[in-house]
Amino acid sequence: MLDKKEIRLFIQTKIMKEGNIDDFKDTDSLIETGIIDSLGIQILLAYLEKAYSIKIADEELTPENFENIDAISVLVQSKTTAIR
Amino acid sequence: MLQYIKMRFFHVIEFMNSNNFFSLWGEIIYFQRTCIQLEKDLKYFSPSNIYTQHTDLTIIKIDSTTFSEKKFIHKSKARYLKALQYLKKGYSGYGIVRKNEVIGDIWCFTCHKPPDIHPDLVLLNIKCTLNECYLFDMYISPQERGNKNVAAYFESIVLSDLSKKGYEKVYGYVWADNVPALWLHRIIKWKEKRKLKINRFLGFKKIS
Repeated sequence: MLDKKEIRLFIQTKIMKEGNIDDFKDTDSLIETGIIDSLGIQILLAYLEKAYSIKIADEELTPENFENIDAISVLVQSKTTAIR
Repeated sequence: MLQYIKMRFFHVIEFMNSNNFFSLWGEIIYFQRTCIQLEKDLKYFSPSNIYTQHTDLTIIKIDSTTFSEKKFIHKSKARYLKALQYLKKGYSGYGIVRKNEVIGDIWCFTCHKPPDIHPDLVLLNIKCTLNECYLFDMYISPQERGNKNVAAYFESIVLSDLSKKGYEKVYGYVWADNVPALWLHRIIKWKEKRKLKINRFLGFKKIS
């Protein structure tokens, strides 16, 4: 089962410049808050592909798939499940 | 010609400061690179409220008049020289300014100046009409990237201004492997028209 805490921790330590991600719920928008911007998505994408040994195609790089921590978890879960 | 060489020289220096040697070659020699052709309807466009947080930044028009007034300093020498080249070709642009410094720019070809059609429109076979334009070559200073959607803020304001000026549609393209640019265009909801494979060898570009 995918641990959302790992994704949270990565976003907190490597992407967020200020604030505390524990203040955000899993359903809060990472895009509207400016946490995930065009540079942040590149960093996040590289992390997810390496940490979970998956490949995210350019068609999957959509605001819907990266809207919040829940959405990111669903995407990663679907790709790790598909590999097996 | 000398200005062009000078511009390319500074471009190489600045690019190498932010990237590596192989990335530089990857920009001018590639095969089967996927290009996504874009368009955006401007008739009812308004910038999203989520990008209105940059109160410390100003958007300016870059044309021959504002450029000659020299009110602003370009953070990038290469972009300053490129702006000179673009203005000579009759393009106009927008800059994003922090205090007195231009930290980014984007350029616009408006389709009312035949026969000098922008070469990208010829390559991509885009038929641009009088109330349409082509946006190209967006740049944000490396130090400003990752600053809370500054690129999205900039592009949203530019699109809004073009819409107010009466332009109904804008064209563009993005490389599928340019993750930040692809992301930017998807959150602003550009329509992706088609994918093309492009080959480039130095100054020569061709659809595969």
